[in-house]
Amino acid sequence: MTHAEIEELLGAYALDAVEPGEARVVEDHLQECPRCRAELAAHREVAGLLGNAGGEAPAGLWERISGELSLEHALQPEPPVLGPVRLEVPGARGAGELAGANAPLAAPSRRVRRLPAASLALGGLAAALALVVGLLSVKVSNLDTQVTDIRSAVATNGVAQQAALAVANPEHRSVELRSAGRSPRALLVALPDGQAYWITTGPMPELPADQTYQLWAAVAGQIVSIGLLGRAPSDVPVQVTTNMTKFMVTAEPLGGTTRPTSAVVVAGSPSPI
Amino acid sequence: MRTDLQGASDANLVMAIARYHEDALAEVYRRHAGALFGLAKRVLWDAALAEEVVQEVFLRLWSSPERFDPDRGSLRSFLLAQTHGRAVDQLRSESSRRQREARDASTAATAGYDLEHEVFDLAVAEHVRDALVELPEGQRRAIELAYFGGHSYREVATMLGEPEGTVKSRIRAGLGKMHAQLAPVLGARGDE
Repeated sequence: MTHAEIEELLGAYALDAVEPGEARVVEDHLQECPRCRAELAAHREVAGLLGNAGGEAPAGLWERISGELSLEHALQPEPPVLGPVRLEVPGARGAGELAGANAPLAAPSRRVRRLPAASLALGGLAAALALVVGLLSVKVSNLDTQVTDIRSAVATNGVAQQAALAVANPEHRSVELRSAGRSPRALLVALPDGQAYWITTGPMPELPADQTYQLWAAVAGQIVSIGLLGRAPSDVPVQVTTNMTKFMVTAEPLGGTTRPTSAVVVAGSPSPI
Repeated sequence: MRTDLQGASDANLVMAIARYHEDALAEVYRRHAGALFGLAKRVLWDAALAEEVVQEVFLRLWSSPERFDPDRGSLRSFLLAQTHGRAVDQLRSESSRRQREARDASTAATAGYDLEHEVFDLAVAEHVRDALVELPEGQRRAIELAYFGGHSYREVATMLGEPEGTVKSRIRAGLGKMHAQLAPVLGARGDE
């Protein structure tokens, strides 16, 4: 294309009204032609005014954007920890405070997945669970998974026991979930079959009675719910798949929501194998 | 922090975004998201698709803030250009063909835009509308169909029954004329 032909395209190019092939030619030319760059800048200014319609952004959009970027943010500056991981388990919680629940996971095919409204309260098990969690002061090297100290062998609760076994399983993969301030708050330990356990390792402030923590995963750019963790989560079984690239937790109304509606509390991503 | 951000220039906000300050992105969102959504919705005629476009534009600003060059225009113009480009991509994708057909039908029924109600700043809107109205009919229609309709100049040529070369020239000449007309407005515009 000659200079004159490219020049002729600049107006349409500024309005995104050229074919992809033409756009590439124009872009190449712009690299080396200040005159055309200046003309394009002027056209773009006009387009900016034309397109500058007012209006309100829809409710909830910022929360979705923020959720996505909190995940990115949690990952970029600090690569996931690969060395020995110390699980710092907070002291035992009061009996009856724990209301953990998890939703069954179907293959996530849509961004919006409706969750079962009912929560499965673990209530009665809380005291036993709290005791076990208190004992779960484990030091784990998560590569060779040489378990140096698991004092939870006497676990009486199924979930906590299974979580401890998962940690001890050499084939597990783990994801550390951190807050924006970067302090680790939880570990997601996954076995090859997709069975995974949320293990609270740092302070997760207890939510009001009408709220629950909800765990989300990013799958192919979409955010899907993996399950409800309860208002004061300890160990909660969930199902994961290998295509989940990020995990995050938000505080949501009891029963859960179909998409995150509040700020991300913690987030993390699996380290590359 | 919040107060500082509200007084910060767009360029400073983008620098803060480069340092992963989410508050800065939130402030950019507060300033510009409404306009971006308005444009995306106007081009796409679909709120859900428009939301996706706006989300993508903000995530892109977050991941590649260096793509904004303050020397080459305001952040609003940059984001609007990004939004328009993404919206047009959506429109041209196979999946949205049906929506587009429906949209074209309704566009025909509601020809004639009332820019006054849609443009962010009424004073600017007035100027923009005047500048658009003062264009020769052929130039104005070509620009409207290309920009708001999301049509390529070739499609516009078919729609108007004009040669492609004519449409290309009309768009370019029309934008040039509007730029001259709007020079005072463009010069006076700040970041917000």
